[in-house]
Amino acid sequence: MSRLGITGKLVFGLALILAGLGTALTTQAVSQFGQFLRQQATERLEAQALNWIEANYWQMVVIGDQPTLSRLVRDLQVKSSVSYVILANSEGAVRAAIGVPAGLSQAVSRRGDFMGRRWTEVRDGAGVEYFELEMSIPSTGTGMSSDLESMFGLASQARPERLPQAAHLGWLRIGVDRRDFNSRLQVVVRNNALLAAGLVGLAVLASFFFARRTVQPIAEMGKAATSIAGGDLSLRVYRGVNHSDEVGDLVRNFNAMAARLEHNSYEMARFRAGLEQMVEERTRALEQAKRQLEERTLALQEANSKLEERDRAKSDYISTVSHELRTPLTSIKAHAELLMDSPDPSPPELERRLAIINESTDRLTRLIGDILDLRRIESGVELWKTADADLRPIVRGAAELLAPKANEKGICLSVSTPDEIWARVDADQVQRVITNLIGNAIQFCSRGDVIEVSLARAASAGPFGNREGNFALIRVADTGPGIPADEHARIFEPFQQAKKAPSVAAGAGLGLTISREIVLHHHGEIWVESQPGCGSSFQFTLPLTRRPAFAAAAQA
Amino acid sequence: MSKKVLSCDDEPYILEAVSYVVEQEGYIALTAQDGDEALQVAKIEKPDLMLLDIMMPKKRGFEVCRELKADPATAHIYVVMLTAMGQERDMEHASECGADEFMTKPFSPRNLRKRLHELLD
Repeated sequence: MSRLGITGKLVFGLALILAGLGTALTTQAVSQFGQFLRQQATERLEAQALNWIEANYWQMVVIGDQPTLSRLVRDLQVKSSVSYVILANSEGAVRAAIGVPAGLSQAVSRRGDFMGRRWTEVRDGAGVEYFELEMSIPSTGTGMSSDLESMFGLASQARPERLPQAAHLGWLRIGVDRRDFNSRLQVVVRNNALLAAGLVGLAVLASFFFARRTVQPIAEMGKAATSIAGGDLSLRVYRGVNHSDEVGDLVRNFNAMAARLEHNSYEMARFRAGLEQMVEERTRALEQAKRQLEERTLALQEANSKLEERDRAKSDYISTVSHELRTPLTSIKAHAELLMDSPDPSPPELERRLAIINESTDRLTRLIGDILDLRRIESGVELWKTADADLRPIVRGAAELLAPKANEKGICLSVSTPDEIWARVDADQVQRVITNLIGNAIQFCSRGDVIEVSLARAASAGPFGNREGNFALIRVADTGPGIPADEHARIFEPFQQAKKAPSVAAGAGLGLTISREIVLHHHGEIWVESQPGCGSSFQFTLPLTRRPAFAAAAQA
Repeated sequence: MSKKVLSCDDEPYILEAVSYVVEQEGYIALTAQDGDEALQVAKIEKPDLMLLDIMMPKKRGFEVCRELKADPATAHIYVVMLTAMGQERDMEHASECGADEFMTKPFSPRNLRKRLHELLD
């Protein structure tokens, strides 16, 4: 029953009730109708029998012979469609009979109601059942009864006690086959049963549709509720939505509830989406801010480390400068004090110490000058006297300036300037670079070494900038001790020679640093090519300018 | 027997002045012009006192001092750092390397004379 559903249950229940009701009603109707039919049949038969008696009374009484009676009996059998007819006189003796089945007694009971009628059920030898009417044939009461009685051969002493003799002529027995009698009833019963069954079927059908109509919306709501519980809020129930009953109300309320749910869900989803988007945006903004902050932090850290680096470099530089200044000062101080403490110094000693003091003073002066120059160039306050100039006299001038010193040390200094080369330079500063380079070479070279100074053209600025164009290349090459490759860059840093290049003698300082600054200011490059034991070749380039017209004119 | 004093400096004029003072005070003056030479002389001569410059070619005074102090044969030598590097961190570095004394340049020959007597007599 649990699998039957509400519709099934309703229909089943209704059908049960209706079937019971129908059966009861039909049974009742059939029973009553049967009674009615039987009564009708008996009354009709009684009436037909009476009519027959009345109509044929005189023939029976007056003629009364056997053929007449047989004909009358047959007439009755045919007219009334009965199975058999038995006519007996008042004594019970059979006068005429027709259609009497075998095995049926022809005797007359001579019992009956006050009108002499009696209905019985009889059975023939074959077991066929009959309804039988036994009725007395009353006398008409016309005063001829004695005659009639004589005609019928009735004996007055044989009369039944309950009937007045005058009113009783004989007996008539009419049998109707019970099957015939029942057949009409059966038809009625069948029809009734069919009608009842049809009505029950119709009722079941109607109840089914009614139940469906009521239950289906509920079932659909159940399905929709399941879907809603499952998350699909778009479902609505359309069946039963127009019903004006409680189910209709329920469906409409259900739909309204679903709509509200869906709306709320949609709003919530929208809200959540908005929230998520907001969170995402905030997160992105935060991440960006974080990234920016990190970048800034990184930049600051870099800047800070650069500053620290610079600070350390500056501190180192000051420390180094201080050291470099103290060194000649130490000589001056020591020898001056020794002289002071020597009460009577010998002339050579005096001369020696004074010379040392003098030289150290010069060195100190030079050092201070270099420091200030470098500072001026580096901080951009140097006043450059830039002009177009032929580089040849500048190179030659520098070499000539240092030729005596080279001679003195037994070093061969050669100069080659094959062609006039013009550049826009500060002639004094460029000459200072060349002087520096030659001076260094002389300092590190020994007797017999060779220093070659040359001026030439070059198609590129040098190994660093990868710049091509017209350049002057000035080269100071020596056959001195050479410089290891890992020191080629470092020697251009301030005091680096003295500090880190222990293979060479003292006396280094700011010369190369200043030279580099000057060359860089002229948009040239300076570098060294050297190997220990193979001499050094310091080179620098300067960008060329075209020979000025006035110079060409002057030469012409 | 006279005490030996090893002066190490790459500046000849300073070396000249220091040696002069040492000899004048009656000690034997030994000289070295770079770090390697200083170590060699110290190991051979086992001087009683070393006047050690820091900024020297080949090997700086700090390293020379550290090597001397690490070698049991020379660890006893009294090392006076005589240097133009007079900053605090240089002094700390010197004492880390095992130097016994720190004297800044420019120095006074008179003070050096006095200190030599205090240390060696």
